[in-house]
Amino acid sequence: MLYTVSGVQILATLDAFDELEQRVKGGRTKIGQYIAALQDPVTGTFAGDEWGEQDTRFLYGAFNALSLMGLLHLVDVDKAVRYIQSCANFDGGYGTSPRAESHAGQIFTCVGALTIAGRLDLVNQDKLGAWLSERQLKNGGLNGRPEKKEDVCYSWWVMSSLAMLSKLHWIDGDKLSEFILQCQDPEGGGFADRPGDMVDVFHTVFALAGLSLLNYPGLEEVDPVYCMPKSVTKRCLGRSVAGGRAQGGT
Amino acid sequence: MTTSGPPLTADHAEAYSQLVTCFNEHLDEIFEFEIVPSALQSASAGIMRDGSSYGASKRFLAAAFLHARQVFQSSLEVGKEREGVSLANDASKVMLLYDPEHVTAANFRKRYLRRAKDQELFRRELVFLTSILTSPLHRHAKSPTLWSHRAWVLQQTLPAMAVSDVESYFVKNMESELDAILRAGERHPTNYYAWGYARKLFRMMENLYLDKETYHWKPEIPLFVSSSAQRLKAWCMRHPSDTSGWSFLHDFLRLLTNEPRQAIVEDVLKYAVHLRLRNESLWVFVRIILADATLEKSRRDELNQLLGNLAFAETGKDERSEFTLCATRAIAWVNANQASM
Repeated sequence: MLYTVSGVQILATLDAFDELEQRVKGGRTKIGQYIAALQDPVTGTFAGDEWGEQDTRFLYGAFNALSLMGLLHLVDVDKAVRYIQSCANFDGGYGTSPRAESHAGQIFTCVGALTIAGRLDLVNQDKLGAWLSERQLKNGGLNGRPEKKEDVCYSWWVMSSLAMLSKLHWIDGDKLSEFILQCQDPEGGGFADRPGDMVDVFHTVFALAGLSLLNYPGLEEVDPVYCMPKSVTKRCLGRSVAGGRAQGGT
Repeated sequence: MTTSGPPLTADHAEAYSQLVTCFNEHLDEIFEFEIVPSALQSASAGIMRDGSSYGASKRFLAAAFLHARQVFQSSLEVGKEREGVSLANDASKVMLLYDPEHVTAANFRKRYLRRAKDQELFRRELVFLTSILTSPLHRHAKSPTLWSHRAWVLQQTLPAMAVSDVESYFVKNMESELDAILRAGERHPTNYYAWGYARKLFRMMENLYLDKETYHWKPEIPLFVSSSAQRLKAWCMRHPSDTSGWSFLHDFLRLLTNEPRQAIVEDVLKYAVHLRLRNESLWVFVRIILADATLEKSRRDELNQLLGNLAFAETGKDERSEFTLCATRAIAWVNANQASM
């Protein structure tokens, strides 16, 4: 599932679905059918592959890829939405499955999927917003769970979730920006998980996406639901996507 | 000792063969593996051994991995059936030792196990997984691929364990699963996937327990659950900054009856107060358990009262210590989020 979703995101970014169709007849549909077949007809969530491990990451991945291809109708969206609801924890957060530990990454997947389905009304937004705002540490960085160290990738998982909830202002954006910039290697240019560590592409992507959400000058506007440029998602989805930047969203 | 100069590489096939031998000597018992700094290894040395603890350099493992990958790919060629499967079995283990996220290797092993339908092989798979999940390796303990592979193996084998007529077999296996989880949880703190597996383990056990079948191990379960609760509580108290441990304890409490549930929470409260602990993870556990529906409302009210009394008896309401702030904030959160039932 995850590799497939990345593939779809790349094709979407490069506007290459026509080329896919040329090389693989019915390519888009085949991808859609592969993804749809991974939905559990009983619970509504998704497996990652034929071996059946279920995780809300796969549910989000399915919604992400299918919506970009205009094929969300291939799956039972309502059932998947009810599954996400069953994953809502008392603390306002979400995990991989019902009663799993709340985790900022899993929260992003659940909130993202609900946004795609147009069902953010099902989220306890104040409670979740509070849980997310507790992720900010004294150094301005964000963690993903209580008492964990700051990590620049949580600038994405936490901030995109807050953006979808229109609560970006529940985090001190200036301190966070400062923290993210400290994670950059001034010689090589890449970003690390925290200042001084080895850089990698993964953390660079999420540092930039986080900075975009924080209105850092000179960056393309990022879509908090997809972690892709809004120009790309608008083109694919043919409509304005919910969720906004630091000055407030729809 | 190696000297400075071009790195000396182990012979790929030799490294691979040594690892396979090591695995095959421990099919039924847990072994430990660690990466040793290459300065400690002479050029000719392969695996270092001390009983069932093994060590090798990263370079050695990488060499073995490269050979294993070749063996694996060629063994899956058509027409090599039985011989190929045996080779792929060995090779995939070496691959997972080097790269725990190697999904292809893990999924081959599922196919292999499923085709063999041999309960002994499933048991040995759990032993192999315990060995690499609890070894002092860099990322195995928290590997989502390895834990989900283990969950699949468990799903295939737990029903068979449930009908075994060997005495206490089922509970003994549950114990060793919990052992593996706790050890992996220590190897890698806040181990999301190990504790996620713990939830799956106990859900599977619960489903079998609630089954209409008269499994002979059912009478042993209440004691197992209560002793596990004590183990978990003790583990959390030894690792008060481990939010995953506390989160699992919270989930686990629903398996207990009211009295032991309340007793455990009371123990944790007293522990937090008497040691004036400020660990955020611990206080997150406290605030949730005192607000949500795990405990009955009347018991929550009692414990909220107790917490208030204990905390301010220790410090006095005016003291602005970090500890008092933790307790005060937790109580405020509880009051703001108190469940109605």
